[in-house]
Amino acid sequence: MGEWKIVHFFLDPNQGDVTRRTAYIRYNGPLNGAPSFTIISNRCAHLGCPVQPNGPSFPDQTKSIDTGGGQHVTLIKMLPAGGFGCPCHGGQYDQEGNRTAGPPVRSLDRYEYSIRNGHLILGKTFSVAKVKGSGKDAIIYRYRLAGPGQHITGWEQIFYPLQPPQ
Amino acid sequence: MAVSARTRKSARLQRLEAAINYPIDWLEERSGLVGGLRYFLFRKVPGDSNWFHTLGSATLTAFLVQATTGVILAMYYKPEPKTAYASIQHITNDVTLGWLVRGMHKWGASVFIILLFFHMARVFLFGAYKYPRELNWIVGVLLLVMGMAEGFTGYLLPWDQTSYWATVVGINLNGTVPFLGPYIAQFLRGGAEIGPDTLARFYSIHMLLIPGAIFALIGLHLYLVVRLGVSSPPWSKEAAGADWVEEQVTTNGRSGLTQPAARSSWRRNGGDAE
Ligand code: HEM
Ligand code: FES
Repeated sequence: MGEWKIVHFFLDPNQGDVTRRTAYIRYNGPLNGAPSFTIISNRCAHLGCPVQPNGPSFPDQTKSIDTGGGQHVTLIKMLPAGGFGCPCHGGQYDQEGNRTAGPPVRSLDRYEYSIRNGHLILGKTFSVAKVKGSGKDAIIYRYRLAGPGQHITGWEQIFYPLQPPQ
Repeated sequence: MAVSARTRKSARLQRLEAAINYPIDWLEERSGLVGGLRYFLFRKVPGDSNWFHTLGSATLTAFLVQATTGVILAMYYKPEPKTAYASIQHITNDVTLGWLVRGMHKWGASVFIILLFFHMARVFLFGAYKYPRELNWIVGVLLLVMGMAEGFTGYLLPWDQTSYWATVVGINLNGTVPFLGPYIAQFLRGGAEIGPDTLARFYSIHMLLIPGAIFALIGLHLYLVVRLGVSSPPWSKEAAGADWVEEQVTTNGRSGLTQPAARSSWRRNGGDAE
């Protein structure tokens, strides 16, 4: 419990490397009888660079799983003690993905998830204005997915009334 | 004897001349292109034009170098996520003089943009954008935008980490434009996520769409340069521009050149005014 993993997977295994995505996943222990996870997208909320854990990762503790259909999932143990940081323009986030410094306009996006036959299944991504609290007790201010750099709260949100159909 | 020798030689020369002139006359009779070229090459330019006036031609040369080296690169470049990076390594390391052609294209891109800005600075500081050349300034602005779009789309093509993430940032930057941003980003990506379609799309824009537009705009730019004449430097004692501009100033008795509509020939020829 409380352990973090760097998780690599493919959005569309047929199209290969170009669809590889990364999520940072923490197991939060059980909540209302089901396991609870924090699943943060590595896409920076400034302009979309890949945020990195501020802390060590342990490549010698890597697990690779083929889940069928060409999908290949890699889990690497890590310890983002200082949250997450972006290499591009220095955006900083805490462990819940809340911005602590730099140019990002909101918190890091997250993944929906479900549990099926004891497996964790990632769903769609959504945008997050902020997170109060932490772990399984966190209150997540959730919005529909917006592009990096687009405000979803505050007066600037009037600039982004519409999103193109996906 | 000397005289007859000379006559014989000149008869040969005459035949040679006729042989050379024949195709030229043939072309001129049917197209007027030769006269057009003479007009272009022998048109008047200010006597006190100087080296700063060559910056436009320098920019044109840089663009032609980009177009030429670009066509050669396009013969070896493979715009697919799985092959793009490897094909550029192949160009750099294996193809004969590929390193040179790629290097010229890569560094030439910066030379082109720098020359664009120098040329624009010359036009600005000489006040050469003023009447009647405002339209050519506007064409120039479009050329500048096109040139920078060439740089943006070309940067993705090597398909390495720098080009990939720089393009992610560039697309998302466009995504923050008020109201339209999310749609612009969607168009540039060719979908919701950067993928194979994005690379093909950038390649198409980079080598077909924008170069075509630049060629057309350069044509318009040069047409206007020839029609209006090159302006003389601000310290010049000579009047600027082509003869007809000067004539219109004097025949209208105006010095300010502030009312183009009243002077435009299509109106005066229309018959209602005079
Ligand atoms: C206004 C003129 C142009 C500019 C400013 C420009 C700019 C660029 C830039 C910045 C790159 C990336 C180079 C690198 O990092 O290696 C590039 C690559 C490329 N461009 Fe252009 N370009 C121009 C015209 C053209 C034209 C006309 C073509 C084809 C007809 C072309 C074909 C290519 C190809 C195939 C590549 C990939 C090869 C490589 O990256 O080395 N370009 N261009
Ligand atoms: S993209 Fe992360 S700080 Fe700019």
